[in-house]
Amino acid sequence: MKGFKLLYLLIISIFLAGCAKDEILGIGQQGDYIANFDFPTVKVYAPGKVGITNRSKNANKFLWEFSGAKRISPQGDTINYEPSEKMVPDSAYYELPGEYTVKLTTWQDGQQKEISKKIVVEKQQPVIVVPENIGVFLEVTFEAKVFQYPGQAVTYNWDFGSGITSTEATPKVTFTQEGPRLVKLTINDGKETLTTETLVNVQGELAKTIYFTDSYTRRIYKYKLTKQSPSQVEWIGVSTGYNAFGLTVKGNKLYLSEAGFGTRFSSGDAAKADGVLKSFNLDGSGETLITRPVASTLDYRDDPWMNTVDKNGNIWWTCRNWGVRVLNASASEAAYPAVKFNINATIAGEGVGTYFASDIKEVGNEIWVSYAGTTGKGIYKYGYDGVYIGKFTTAIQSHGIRTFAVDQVNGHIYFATNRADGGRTEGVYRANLDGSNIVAVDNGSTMVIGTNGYSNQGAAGEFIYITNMDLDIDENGKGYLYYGYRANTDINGSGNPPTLGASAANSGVKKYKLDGSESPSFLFKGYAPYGLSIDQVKR
Amino acid sequence: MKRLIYTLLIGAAFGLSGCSKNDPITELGETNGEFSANLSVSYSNTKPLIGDSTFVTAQTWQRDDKFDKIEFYQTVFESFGVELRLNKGTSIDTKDQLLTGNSNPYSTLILSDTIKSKEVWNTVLAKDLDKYWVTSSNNYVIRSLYKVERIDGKYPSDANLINALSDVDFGVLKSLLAYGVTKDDYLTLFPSATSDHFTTGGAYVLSAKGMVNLKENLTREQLKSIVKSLIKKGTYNVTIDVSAITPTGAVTSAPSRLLENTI
Repeated sequence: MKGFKLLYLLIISIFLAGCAKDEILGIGQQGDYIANFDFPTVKVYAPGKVGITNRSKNANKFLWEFSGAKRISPQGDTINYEPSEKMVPDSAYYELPGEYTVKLTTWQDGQQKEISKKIVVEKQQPVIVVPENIGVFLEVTFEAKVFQYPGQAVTYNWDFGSGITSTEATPKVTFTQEGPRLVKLTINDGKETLTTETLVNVQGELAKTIYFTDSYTRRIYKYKLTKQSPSQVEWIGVSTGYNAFGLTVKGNKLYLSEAGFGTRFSSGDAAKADGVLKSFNLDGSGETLITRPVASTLDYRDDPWMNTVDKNGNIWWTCRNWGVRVLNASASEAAYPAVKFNINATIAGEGVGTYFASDIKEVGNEIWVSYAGTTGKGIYKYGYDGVYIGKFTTAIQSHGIRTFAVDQVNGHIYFATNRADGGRTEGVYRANLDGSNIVAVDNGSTMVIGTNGYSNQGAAGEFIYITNMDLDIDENGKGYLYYGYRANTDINGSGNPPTLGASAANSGVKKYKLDGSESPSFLFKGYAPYGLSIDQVKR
Repeated sequence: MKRLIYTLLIGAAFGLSGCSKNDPITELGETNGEFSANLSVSYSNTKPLIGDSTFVTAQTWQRDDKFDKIEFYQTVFESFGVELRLNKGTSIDTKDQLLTGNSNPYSTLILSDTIKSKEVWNTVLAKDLDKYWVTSSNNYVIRSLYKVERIDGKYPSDANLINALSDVDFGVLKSLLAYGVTKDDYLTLFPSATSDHFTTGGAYVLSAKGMVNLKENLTREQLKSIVKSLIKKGTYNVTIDVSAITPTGAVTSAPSRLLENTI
C-alpha cells in the first residue's frame, strides 16, 4: 500500500509538471542598452520651459539631475528641480539666459551608464508686436516682447517715423499717412542695449468708391469716398469708346455699356451699330467683351446705353429705341440677344413710333426702366421674366427720366429729367417711392441745358444729360446722392462725336446730402462724367 | 491492484499528452528567428495644399530590434483637362462640361501624367535609428517634413503643352476647335479662307469644309502662336508611402496616403 501511495504521488507530480508547459514566458528586452536624451531642436529663450525626450533603450531605472533649472509644480509654483527618477522628466524651467547641464544616469541590471548634455538658453531679443489692421487715422497700440531680469527695469525708446516717438512700454500711435512705415525700438534691460525694427503697412482708409466714365478723356476713373484722409481721382487703366453712358459696379466687377459713335438720329458711320458691353475687374484688369451688336444686321438704335446687373447675375441694358435686352453677365463674346421687352402704346397710354428707354435698375424683385422721349415717359416696372408689372400713375410719369436712383431707406426716388415738363426745368429731382411729391434737388440755371448750363449734347427731345446717378447711404438713411455734371463749355453739340471744349474744368461729379441740409456741390472737377456707379463695399 | 496501477498510468499518460497540446508557441509552428517590423504612420495635415507642408510621422518597432532602414516614398501624378483661350475669343474647356438639362459633367480630353514614379525622399538607416528612439512609447518615432510642390511633368502649364500632346490627343483638340473656334481666330489661322469655310448661322461658325480644313491643316506651331492662355484643370496627386525594412529583407508598409489637390 505504501508503494501504491508513492506511485500515486509520483504520477500526480509528473502530471502537474507536464501542465507547467502551459506557462508562456515574456519576450525579453532586445537590442542595445543605451543612455540618451534630447533637447528640443529649436532655440530656447529665457524665461522658458524645456521639454526633454528620453531616448534611452533597455534601461530599468533613471535618474535625472538638473543644474540651475526650476520646475513648475502642478499648483503653478516655481520650485527648484530636485533629482528625478521619472522615465519622462517634467519640463525644466530656466528663468535666466545661460548654459545649463542635464545629467541622466540609467541602470540595467548590474550595469550603469551616464550621459550629460548642455543646453544654451538664450536671451529673448526684443520683438515688436505689431497690432493688427493698422489703418490711417486709427489709434493702435504697439508692444514688445522683451526679456526682463528679475528686479530690473527696462527702458523703451520707440521711433515710428515722422517725428512720432515714445518711451512707453505700450505706446498708442495714430498714423496720418498710409503706406509702409519703419518702426524702431531700442531697449535697455539693465545689462545691455538692444535694438530691433520692423516694417509695418499703414492701410489706407476703408471707404466706398465712385467709378465713372469720362466723356472728355474716354477713360474709366475711380475716386475713393474717404472721410478722414484726402482722396484723388485715379485712372484704372481702362479706355472706353465714344459715349460710355452706363457703368455698374456689382461684386468685384465693373460693367460698362457704350453707345458708340452715334446717339441721335444719324446716318453714315454714326448710324452703324458699334456699341459694346464689357466687364472688368475693379482694378481695370480682366477685360471681357460680353456682347456687341452686329453692325451688318443692327444699327445705332440697338447700341447699349445704360445697364444694371441683378442679383441673379444677369446684365440688363437699354438701347436707344427698342427697349431692354438681357444676358448672363459672365458671358463672353456672346451673340447679341433679341429685345426682352419694351413698352408699347397700350402700356405707355400713348402711341409713338419710338420709345427711348433710358436708365434701368433692379428694385426689390423688379426691373425698373425709365423712358426719356417725347412720349412714353416715366418709369415702368417689369419682372425678371420680362412681363410688364405696372407703371407709376403719379407726377413722376410726366417726366422724361434719363437716369434715376432709388433710396429705399428714406423712401425716395431721385431722378434727372432731360426735358422741361410739368412745369419743371431740366434738373435733378426727388419723389416719394410712389412717384408723387416731387421736390427739386438741383435745378438751378447751371443744371438747365444750354449756354452757361448743362451740356446740350444730343438733340432737342433727346438730350443726353445725366446718364447715371448713385447713392452712398447708410442703414440710418444718411448719405449722399452722386451724379455727373458736364458743363456746356466742356462738351456740347449735336454732332457725332460731340464738340469738346478746352478742358473739363467746369465739369465734375456733384453730390447732394440726402437730408437736404447742404446745397448740391462739386465733389471734384476736371472730368465730364457719363456712367457713374458706387462700389458699396468699403475697401 | 495491478488494474488500478494501469488505470492511473493510462490516466497520467492522457494528462501529459493533453498538457503538451496546450503549448501555444509550438502550435504556431517553427520560427526561423526573423520577424517583420510593426509600423504606423500619421500626418500632421492630411489635406495639404500645393506649397503646404505636412509632418509624416512613422512609428516602428521590431521584435528583435533589427532594422535595415526606414524609407519614405513619393509618387506624383496629375490628371487634367485643358482650358484653352485663343486671342480672338475662342474658348475650349475639355474637362467637366455640362450639357443643358444634364447635371452630369462630361470631359472631352483628359490627360494623365506620372510626374514622378515611386521614389525615395527620405531614408533613415539602422545605424541612425537610435536617435529616434522614444523611451516612453518604446518605439522609434521618425518625424519627417514633406512639402507638396507643384512640378510639371511632360506637360508644361502653358502653350508649350500643345507640343507635348500625342498625335491622337492633338487630333482630339483640333476636333474640339473645329466646333468651337471663332471666325476671327480661324481667319488668323487661315487668312485666305473663303466664305464657304463658314456657316451663315446655326450652332457652329465653321462649315464642314472649314472643319475639315482645320483638322487637316492646323499645326501645333500655328495654334501656339494665337494662344492667349492655356491652363490645366484637374487634380495634382501625391502618394506617400513608408516602409520599414529588416536586414533579412522583410518589408512592412503602411497604407498609402493620397494627397490630392485641384488644379
